[in-house]
Amino acid sequence: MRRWGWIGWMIFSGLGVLGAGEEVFDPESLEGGEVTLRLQSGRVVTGELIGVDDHQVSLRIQQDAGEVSMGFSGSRIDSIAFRGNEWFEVAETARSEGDWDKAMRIYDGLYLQRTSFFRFLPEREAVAFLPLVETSLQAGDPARAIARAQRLAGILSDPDVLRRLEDLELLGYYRIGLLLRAGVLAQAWVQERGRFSDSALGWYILAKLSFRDEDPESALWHALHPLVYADRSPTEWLNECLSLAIASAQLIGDYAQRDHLIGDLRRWDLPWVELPEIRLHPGLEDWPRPVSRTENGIPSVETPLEDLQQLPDRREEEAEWGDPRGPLPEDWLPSLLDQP
Amino acid sequence: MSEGFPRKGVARSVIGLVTRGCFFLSLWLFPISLVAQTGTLQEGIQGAVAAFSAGDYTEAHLRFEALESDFGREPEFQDPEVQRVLLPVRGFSALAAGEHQAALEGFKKFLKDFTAVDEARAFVRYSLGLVYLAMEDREAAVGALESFVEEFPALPEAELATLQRIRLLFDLGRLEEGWGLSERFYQGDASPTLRIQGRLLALERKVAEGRTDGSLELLMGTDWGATSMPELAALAFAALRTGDELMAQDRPADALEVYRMVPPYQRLLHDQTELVERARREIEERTGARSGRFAAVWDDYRQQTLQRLEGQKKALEGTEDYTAGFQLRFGQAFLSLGRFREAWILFSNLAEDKTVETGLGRDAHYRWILAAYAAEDWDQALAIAEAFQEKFSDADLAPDSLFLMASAFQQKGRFHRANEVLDRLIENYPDHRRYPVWRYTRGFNRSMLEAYDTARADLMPFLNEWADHPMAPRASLYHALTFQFEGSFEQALEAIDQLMEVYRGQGIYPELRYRRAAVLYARRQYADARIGLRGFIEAFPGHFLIPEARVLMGDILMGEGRLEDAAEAFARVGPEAGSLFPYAVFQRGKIYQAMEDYERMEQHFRDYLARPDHAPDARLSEALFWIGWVLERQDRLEEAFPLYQKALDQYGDDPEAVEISSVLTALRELRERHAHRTDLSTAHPVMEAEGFEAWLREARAEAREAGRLTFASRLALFEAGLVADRDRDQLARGILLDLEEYIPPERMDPEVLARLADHLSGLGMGRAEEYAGMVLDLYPRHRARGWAYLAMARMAQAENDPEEADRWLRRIENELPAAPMAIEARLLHGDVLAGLGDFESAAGRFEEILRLRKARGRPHARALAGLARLHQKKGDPKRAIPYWQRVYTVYRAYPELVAEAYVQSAMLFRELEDFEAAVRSLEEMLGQTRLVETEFGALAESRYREWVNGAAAELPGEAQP
Repeated sequence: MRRWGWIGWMIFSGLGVLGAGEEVFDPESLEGGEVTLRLQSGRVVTGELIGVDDHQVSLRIQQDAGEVSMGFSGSRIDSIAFRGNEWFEVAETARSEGDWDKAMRIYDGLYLQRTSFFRFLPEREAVAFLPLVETSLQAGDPARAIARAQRLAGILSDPDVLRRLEDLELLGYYRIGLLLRAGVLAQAWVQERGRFSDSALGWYILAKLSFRDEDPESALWHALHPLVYADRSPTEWLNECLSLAIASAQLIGDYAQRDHLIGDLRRWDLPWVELPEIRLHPGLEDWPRPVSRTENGIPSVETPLEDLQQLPDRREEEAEWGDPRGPLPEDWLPSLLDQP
Repeated sequence: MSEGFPRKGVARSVIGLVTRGCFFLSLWLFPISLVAQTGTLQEGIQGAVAAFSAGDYTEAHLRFEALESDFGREPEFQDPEVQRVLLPVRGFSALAAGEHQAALEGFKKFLKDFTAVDEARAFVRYSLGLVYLAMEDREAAVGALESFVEEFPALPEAELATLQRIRLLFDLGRLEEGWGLSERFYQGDASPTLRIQGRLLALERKVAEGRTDGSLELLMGTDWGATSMPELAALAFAALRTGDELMAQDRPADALEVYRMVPPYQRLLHDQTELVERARREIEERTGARSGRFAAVWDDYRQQTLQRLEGQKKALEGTEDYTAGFQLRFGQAFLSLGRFREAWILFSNLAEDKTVETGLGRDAHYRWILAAYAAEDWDQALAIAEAFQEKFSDADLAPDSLFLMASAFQQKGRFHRANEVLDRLIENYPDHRRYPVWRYTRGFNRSMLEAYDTARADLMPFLNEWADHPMAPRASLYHALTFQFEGSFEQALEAIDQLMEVYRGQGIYPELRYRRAAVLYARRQYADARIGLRGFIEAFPGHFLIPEARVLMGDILMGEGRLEDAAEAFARVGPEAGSLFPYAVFQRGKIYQAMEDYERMEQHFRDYLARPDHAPDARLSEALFWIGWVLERQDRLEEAFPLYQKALDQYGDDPEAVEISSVLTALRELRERHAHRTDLSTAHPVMEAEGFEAWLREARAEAREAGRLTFASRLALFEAGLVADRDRDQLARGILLDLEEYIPPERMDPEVLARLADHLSGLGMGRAEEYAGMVLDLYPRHRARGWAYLAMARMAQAENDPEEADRWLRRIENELPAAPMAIEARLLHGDVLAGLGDFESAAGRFEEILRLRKARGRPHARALAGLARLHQKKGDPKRAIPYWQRVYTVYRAYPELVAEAYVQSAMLFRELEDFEAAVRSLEEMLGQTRLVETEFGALAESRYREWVNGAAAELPGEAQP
């Protein structure tokens, strides 16, 4: 009989999804109320939630003889069914439509409803709130993103998920303006992730911080790290690193480096990312901004690269008569071109 | 690499395909049951199918053959409908049973008898290709598959057949056809996965054939989309090999692009493992899912792909991790392209990675030095090279790394240190192939240190022993130039003439002609020099020394009084001549000044200022100064003042500007000359202030207030100079030391920083070294760097390191022999050399001072004192005394020195037991109040009492006081 009750509840929840998209999300509607536990034994218990602590969930259950309060220890709980599952789909739709505020509100409501129970639930139940951290950042609420990321990181163990949370936390600190902390986290990030990573976030944050500190030379070095180790695999934040590197090379007047990097941008068909710090930098008001092919379909990098290549090479001229003080042999500098 | 992967034999593949064909074979035979009404024929067919299904292909084949002998004459059997169905099946079972000829005949008969373009014909056409493959007749297989594609181009299997054809063409060595077909296939509209596979086959073959350009073209011209690229390992290794080949061909730019397609080993292994898993899943999901006669063909294709991927993965697992070695070559590609930062990152990470094999780590470390060298970061290059020496002193690359270290010292202008390293190299590795290069470099450094004799000793072997060495022309030229540098022009000319004979018509010849003319100029043979220069300019108009020759020509013409011609020669030196350009500009200015053509002079400098292409060393403030000079000359003071002011406003706070002191001097002179005038319409604070120094102080306060701290430091320096001219050195020092209170060192004028270092070193303050270090790092060529050298020398001397002090002082002598600090440096050098026991050189330094007219006064007195101390140190008081006596008789204006001279003389007399002379000396000194007030006063008084009282005590009847 109880088993049928469980299945019936599942059907009911499923039906609820159909109409949820049209409703206005009210987080208070998720507070309190009934909770259904599925126990390891297969038994399903429904009751009013009266308390959760580190070890057990306490419910007030209606029985024939009246109300009774019961505690269920974590080890006995197989799963917990909450009300409001249908809102996940609504939140996801809002996220895909770029309505970050709405997505964040719904995810956060659901998160608050369930956060106390995470310790009794399988990890995937908490992993489902990764989008909450992302949407909080997108919605311009980095403090919430940091708080939620730290909480989730404390209870999850999947290394991929933990790395994602670290990334989001780091971004949160940068966006909230706690730059010292962001710098420390970014340093730890680059130490931990090693050279070959599918993300360039730590280097990107370090480069941004140097760029903000009017130290474009350091910014360039930081931004170059992930670019050097990038291969054909997609690397998150790589485009931003490349754009920062180009702008930094421009600022320090290393135009050869700048043009090499613009060449990379064109050959790899990467988009030029006009970051705010580049757009607003007083030293970059009037310069040959690269435009990638991806952006407008035609190669139109406005740089003097081609012009420079037209100029006669002074060394070639000299070669005609020998080097300024006589010709240097090829091995003047040992092994500069030696093959390893 | 791909050859290393196991490849399944074509014949085995065909058998596999055929055996998996049993499922659809039974489907194929289904229509026969409609025709074969007689039970016996039907039973025969069912028996054949059962045998085939049980894997007994021989039995199946025999049963199909028996059908013909048993029922061959039956009308049902001969019915074309029955034959149309039976022939392909018979052929297929024959193929499976290894009866290829029978299969071939069966399929051929079918194709001949049944020409309807339908699925059965398509299958037979395709199967014919399989028969030929089983027979290992690849040529025929290619033809059969080609016919299949031609007849059934729209079938999806045509894409598989084309891929198979590409593979066969390569196996047959019909490479061009294979590549052509692969290209058409790639450009066509087949499925992306198959097109990419065809492309990869073509690429692998290009790599195997060593067609590097073709490999590059395929690698770069293909969209190897991650989703449609099933053979990552094959692609990665093709890219790796192509990159290596491109590096070997010295094409680093292309190599770089290709190397970027190579993932690190661990990632490749991970991705390849995932690919294998994906292929397995796909087989599980799709095998049998497709119906129809070709289903087995597709199943087979997927099986083959899986086997290939597994083979690649296995081979990859057995391969050593290539990542570190690859990154070393990748870094080399960056370095070869001048992208030193990227190279640096790669090399440094490899060098510091403890998991990297020692030899590779050593190579990376060495290349890291090269990257730092390419970055012209000499400090880092040195530090990295020193670390290399510590870690790998026994390595084959140790001499090369030492040489890089020496080169880094050389680039920093530390020629002594460079030569110390070179000495080590030359002594320890006399058989090294770069030994001549080291000798050349040491010779060059020695010539920079003005040690011309020893420089020539290093360069001489290039004239005979190593005459064929590539550096011989350059070294021989330097050898000749050392004579010129030391002023032995006759020998220089002789050496150059000899070289002109040896190198006539060779690369160095034009330069020899120029150098000859320059030596003639130095010998004051101006007309000969002019002729030589003209010949050089006309014969070699594109030579890099032409601007220098034009400048020299201008100077000669100027010396000859041909001012217009000289101006014209200078006018032909353009901005491309670098620092010679401003020189030529200012020489022209001087010419117009000499010609008193002030209008042209003014216009000339105004034109110069208006140029849009000024280099950092453009001397703009100096140009403004000269315009101001003209204006003042023309009594256009209302224009001159604003112009000078503009120079101060625009360049006063620019640390790179060099002539701010000239502008201040001009303002000072302007004030002095025109202060009395009442007709001036212009008002300038300089004229309104109480005095020039008062204006300096006001301007300094304003600059400080406005945050123009570099300018403030310059005003202070100028004021300190004026104060020092009035012999108020203490006050002058105070003005500069006061700047430390409110100007951070990085905002100070380089000269202020250097002078502060000098003052602080005199006071023994540690900050001196910090300031001097800043000057040397930030402004290594600034004319004030001599003060920094002096400070470094003083600090070294204070730390009992006379060798180090000696090195710094020699730099002043070599680089700035006539600079203001050179006198002070010589005096200190005398003491330092005396401390090192080199009395002769020490005496030489003091005597040089005594010969210098501009060192008259205190420096002369100090030189005499130095000589006196030198003799004392040598234990020769008799020779020391006259020097002290000369100090106190001739230089009475310097009480400190005079007092010391009296005291020292007295002590020496006493040492010589000339008691009377000793006491008299002290009496004479103590009779002069201003001498008693010096630091030697107390000493003199105590000695005097001691000696006089001691003498009295020795007299009979006298009591002790």
